[in-house]
Amino acid sequence: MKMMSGIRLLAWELWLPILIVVVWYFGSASSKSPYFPPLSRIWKAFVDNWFGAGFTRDVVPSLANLAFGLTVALVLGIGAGLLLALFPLAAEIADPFLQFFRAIPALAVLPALFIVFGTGSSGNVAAIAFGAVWPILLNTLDGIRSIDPSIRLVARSYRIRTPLLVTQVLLPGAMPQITVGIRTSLAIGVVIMVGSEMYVSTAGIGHFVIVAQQTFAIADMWSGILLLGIIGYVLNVGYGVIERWLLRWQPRTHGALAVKGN
Amino acid sequence: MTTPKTRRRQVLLGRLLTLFALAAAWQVFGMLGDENVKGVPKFSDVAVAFVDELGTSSLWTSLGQTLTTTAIGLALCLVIGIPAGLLLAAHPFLTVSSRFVIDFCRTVPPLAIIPLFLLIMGPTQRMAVALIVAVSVWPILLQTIHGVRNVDPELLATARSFRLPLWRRLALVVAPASMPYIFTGIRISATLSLLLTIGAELIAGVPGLGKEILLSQSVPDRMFALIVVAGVLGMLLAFAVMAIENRLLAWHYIPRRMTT
Amino acid sequence: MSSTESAASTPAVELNGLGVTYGGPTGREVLRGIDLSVAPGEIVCIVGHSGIGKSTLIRCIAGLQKPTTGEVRIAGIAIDAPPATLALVSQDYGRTLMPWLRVGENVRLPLRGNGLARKVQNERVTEALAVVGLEGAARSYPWQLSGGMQQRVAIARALAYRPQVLLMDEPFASVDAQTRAELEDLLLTLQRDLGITVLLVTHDVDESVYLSDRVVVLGGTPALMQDIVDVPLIGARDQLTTKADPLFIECRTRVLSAIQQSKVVAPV
Repeated sequence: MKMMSGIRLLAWELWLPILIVVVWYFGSASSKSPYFPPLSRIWKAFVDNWFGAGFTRDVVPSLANLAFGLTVALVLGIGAGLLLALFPLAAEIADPFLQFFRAIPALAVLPALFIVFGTGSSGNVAAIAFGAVWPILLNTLDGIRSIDPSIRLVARSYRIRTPLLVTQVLLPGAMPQITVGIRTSLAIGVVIMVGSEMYVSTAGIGHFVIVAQQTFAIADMWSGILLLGIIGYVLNVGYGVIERWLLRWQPRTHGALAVKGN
Repeated sequence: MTTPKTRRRQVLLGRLLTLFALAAAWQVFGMLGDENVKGVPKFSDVAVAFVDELGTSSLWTSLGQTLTTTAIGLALCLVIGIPAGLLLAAHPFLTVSSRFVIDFCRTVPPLAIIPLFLLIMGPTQRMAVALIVAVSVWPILLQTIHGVRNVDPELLATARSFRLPLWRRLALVVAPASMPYIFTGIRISATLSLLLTIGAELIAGVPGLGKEILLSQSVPDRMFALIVVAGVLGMLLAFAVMAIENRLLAWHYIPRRMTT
Repeated sequence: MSSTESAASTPAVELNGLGVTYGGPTGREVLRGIDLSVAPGEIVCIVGHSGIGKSTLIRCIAGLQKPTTGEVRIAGIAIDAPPATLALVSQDYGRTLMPWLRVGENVRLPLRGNGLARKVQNERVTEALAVVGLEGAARSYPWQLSGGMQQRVAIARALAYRPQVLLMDEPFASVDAQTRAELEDLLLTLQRDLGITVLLVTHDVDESVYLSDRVVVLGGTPALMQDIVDVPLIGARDQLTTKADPLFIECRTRVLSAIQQSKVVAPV
């Protein structure tokens, strides 16, 4: 594909979404359906809810729980993945258990976690952490394992000690794989954040949406859904930026390496 | 230096020990539970409940419901996602135009739309299927596009030089070459579909395993046992997808197990 | 063939009855009865066919692999792990440089965590890169450099480490002939200036005679030492005149025929 100027590319990417929004706005303007109120009303509810008190009441707790849960998952996942990579026997022993825990639909465990950690935010954080830790752990383990053996051989021949080995060789080498795991964990984390709030909670965006549905505050419900969609998208884009920074050492060009003269 | 046989024995022993340790820890935790953490049942109680459940018809009925919901949803995703992906990948104009919409829909937290669907369709399996399609179609769609666009141009050029008609090119070159990518999408969608089914059952009361878990909240033994069943179900699903994939993609060397 | 330790100097590298067998007592014997004594400051090349076990031998000498029989002594001390006075440069430079570190950081890595001040580390890095002719490359990433330059980085990394013994496993096999010639001469210069002991594995007979004081020929299955050829070429060597020297040709012929013979002789 030929390179295009930035503006043209932007227009090409955005014409469809903008069209959809416009059609939605005018198409629903006179809507009488209880389930699909006019976009103008949804927008009003959106502004009222999320640019007002709702922000601190719901958005902040939700995102805080998400942040805590993901941090716990990150620390535990990378730490455990690293340890297992350093002790291959342990990794082999643990494999079926890891597969089992990874395969449990994270939402099924919600009730159990809430019993153990209580129904407050700690329950939400625990649920998010539980669901998000497995992709990170497994990808860290896999990533370290798939570092070129020649590199580890050379590191051994230069007697590079374990702390330095971990920070300068193992983790950077596994980083491409780890970032894939983090991306998955981010998605799972958001799903659990919403799910756990819908299941039982007293605050949070998910909770807001389900209550709005139950009280037939349809426009409010839609405003919550839209907010969640935007948050999901922003988090994804934001993570893309972080990912590019983490992998900044990778060659930009595919195929032929850019070579300076001999 | 340990021989393979010694190693195998060490691993087996290690696994048995770990299993035992986990069960013991759970048991202890459950026994303490009466004072510190209310409501965590003992491992022994859960084990008993688990065995009991296997004998009831209600468990198998609900399992069947969950499985059918997931399967139908996943099948629909394939039927819609793959052709749509092929279409969108056909021309750069279509690919770039749809990129934003697909990206946005992909990142909407799946459960966010449960309340909406619940309103319109009520707590039925039909609602769960609709939910699955609305959410799990995107990974398949994306991966199809990705796979098609990543087919080695050399392969296509060779096919054209042999004057193969379009449909043959699609069937013999494009489809197999993009299979690995598509299968990644299927794997992701399968896990997601099961997650959504159980989520819909748990939160909205759609009939199935999740609903049973919801209903047994006051009977912790049963609830935990059902959660274990859900875990086993998840594992079986993952294995099934992997087995099918290994069979169909035996020709494609997958260097390492891809974790999603 | 065996070592006779003189009272004056301990051999830099000593191999005593080294053998490697894979897969237990009934497995595949790869190396058998290797005895070698390398004096400090010597360059010794090990030649033989590809796949004969040269890399295995180098790994044993480097302490990365434990031989099934026999021992390796570095400066008189038997080793069972990579010793601190030894550096290894292998064939696949592209796979031994860390892609996520810049060239300078790659060279500095082995120096870290050893109690050397940061300033000293950086000085050594700059020095090593200058010696191999890569002054300005410290901030580049390995993928930005050509194959020959990447191999120079690997060499610089070994040099900065200040080893007493330099092991090289077919270090110039993956570069083009012109670059190979340049790197060979670079190695000779470095060795002359720094006085390091060099053990170099190669399948290129010309290269082995050009570089070394002695050539060890490995051959047969399991690989045994077929011959040790002394290369008494005196004075500085260069690509043009040395390779036309009759003495060079004589040594070369001897090495070649030893290799040929190893193919004919049936294994024991």
